Amino acid sequence: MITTSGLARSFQVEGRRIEAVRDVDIDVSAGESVTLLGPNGAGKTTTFRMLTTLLRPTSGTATVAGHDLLSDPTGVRRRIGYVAQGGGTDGERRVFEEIELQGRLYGLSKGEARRRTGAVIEQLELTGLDKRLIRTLSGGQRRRLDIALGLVHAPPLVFLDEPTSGLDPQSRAALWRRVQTLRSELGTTVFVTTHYLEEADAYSDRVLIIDHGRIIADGTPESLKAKVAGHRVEITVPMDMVRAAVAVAEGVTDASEPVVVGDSVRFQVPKADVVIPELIRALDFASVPTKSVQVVRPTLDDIFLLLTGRSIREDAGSETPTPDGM
Amino acid sequence: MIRDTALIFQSQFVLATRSLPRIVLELGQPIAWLLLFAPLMAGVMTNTPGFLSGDAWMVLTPAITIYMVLMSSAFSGYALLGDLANGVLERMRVTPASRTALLLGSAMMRIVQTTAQSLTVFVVAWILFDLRITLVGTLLTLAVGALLTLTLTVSSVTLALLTKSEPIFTTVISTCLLPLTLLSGILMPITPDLAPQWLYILSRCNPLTWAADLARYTFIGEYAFQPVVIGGAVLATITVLSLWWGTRTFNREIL
Repeated sequence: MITTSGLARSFQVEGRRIEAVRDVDIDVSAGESVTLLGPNGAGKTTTFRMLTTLLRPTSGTATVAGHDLLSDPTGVRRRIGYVAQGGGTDGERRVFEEIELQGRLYGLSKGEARRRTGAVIEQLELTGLDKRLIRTLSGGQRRRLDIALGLVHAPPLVFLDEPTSGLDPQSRAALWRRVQTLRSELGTTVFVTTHYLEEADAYSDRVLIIDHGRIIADGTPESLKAKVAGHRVEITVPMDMVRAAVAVAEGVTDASEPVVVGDSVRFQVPKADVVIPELIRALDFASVPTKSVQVVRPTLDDIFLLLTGRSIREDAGSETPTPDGM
Repeated sequence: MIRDTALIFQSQFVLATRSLPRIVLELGQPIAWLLLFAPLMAGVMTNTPGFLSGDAWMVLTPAITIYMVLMSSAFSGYALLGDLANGVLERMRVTPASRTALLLGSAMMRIVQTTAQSLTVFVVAWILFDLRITLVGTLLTLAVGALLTLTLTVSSVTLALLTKSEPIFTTVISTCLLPLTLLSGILMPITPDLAPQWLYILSRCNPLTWAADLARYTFIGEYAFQPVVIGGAVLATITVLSLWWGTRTFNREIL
């Protein structure tokens, strides 16, 4: 469904060259649900904008939904749906008008557009809201409308850029259930970006981890987590005791190099249960006033931590705006 | 492309007709000009030798419509900046819809709006001031207004797409608009008798001067070579140039 080779994009910002996406090779098969996971500013949106014909790659090639991205952008556009991170609706319009217009711009006839509008309104639980002005919708309803707009022409491939950002946990779960249903009913290929680890873990067949514009890991959530052998131990201490805690952690048998995230010190061990007694004694001996000691089963964040030495979460909010404009 | 243009136009038209206060304000504007400004100019014109010949109202009425065209078209790029900010333009750009249609759809909407405004001016002037309006003259003047609206709207929207910034867009438009308006002699005709020679020459270099003269002459039904043929050619040229610039920018900027 998607094949890219050496896809790259750089921007010129105040005389500086920023490599937003570098040398990305992606393969997505038909019917697959793939998540592009990475911290803010990692290049997720730039990658999506290139694959959806909105942004011309600086170099590289790609075939999307059977059509060449560069030589046949219209062919690509006909077969994909794209839901941007910020949506794209005019608050002064009514829900059904916006969906119908979108369907007609995709080439549907008037009757067909109307029929499909009814269908997506039902699929995304917007029933009863079709005549409402868009500005009167709640955040969750608006996000569902954004997704309805991306699905009105029943595309075989749909790109969802941060579909759940800004929603409360309940709406997030509900939205994912909708997307899952779509997949199972229509066989739609779903390509999603997110910085929510739990969502990537729970709802995708395959996860691509992106950092600084490069794909650094690719596999099923299970296979990725399996790379992090054993358990993660997290010690939380007062800020001024972090150094001392690191020193203690370094002495633990078979432990990985400790990593500091805020006031917590993290490391991997093959079996946490045999390490904990030893660790507690060592902390006590070094007079480190420990707030908590936690044993965590590996998550996708551990993969990220293992590969980059950073946590996905600690980058939250430090988004670098990419001046790609149009 | 025609289908997509019609779709964009239709959706904007529905949106425009929904807001009654906006329609009333837009149609009220030309009436204000006609009632509050035109009587003053009519007095000046009748008392100034060497001015355009004929009934003052016959000269002022088409000029006001051209002025309305100028004012409402020049800032039409604002709508695009709004669509850019709320993501609507991007949403339309991922569809296979014609890029040119995205530009022309809103231009068509603007033409409908300025034509309605011009018609209001004509009707009110006809009722109040007993104008000797001819059908052909009115239609031709409306056509001039429509072409000028197309030219200015396309240019404004294209400029908005290129600047992508409201402050820059506003600055560029207002900086260009003032000298263009003053030098066009729309509100106060610039004649060799009244203006210093350099100002007169400058005004002749302004395509808007030709469009304004063209509107005035077609309105009174005088088809002299200089204002009508040359004016028509100037108007056609700037229309083609703006369309070329606009479609080229839209198709390039948008892959």
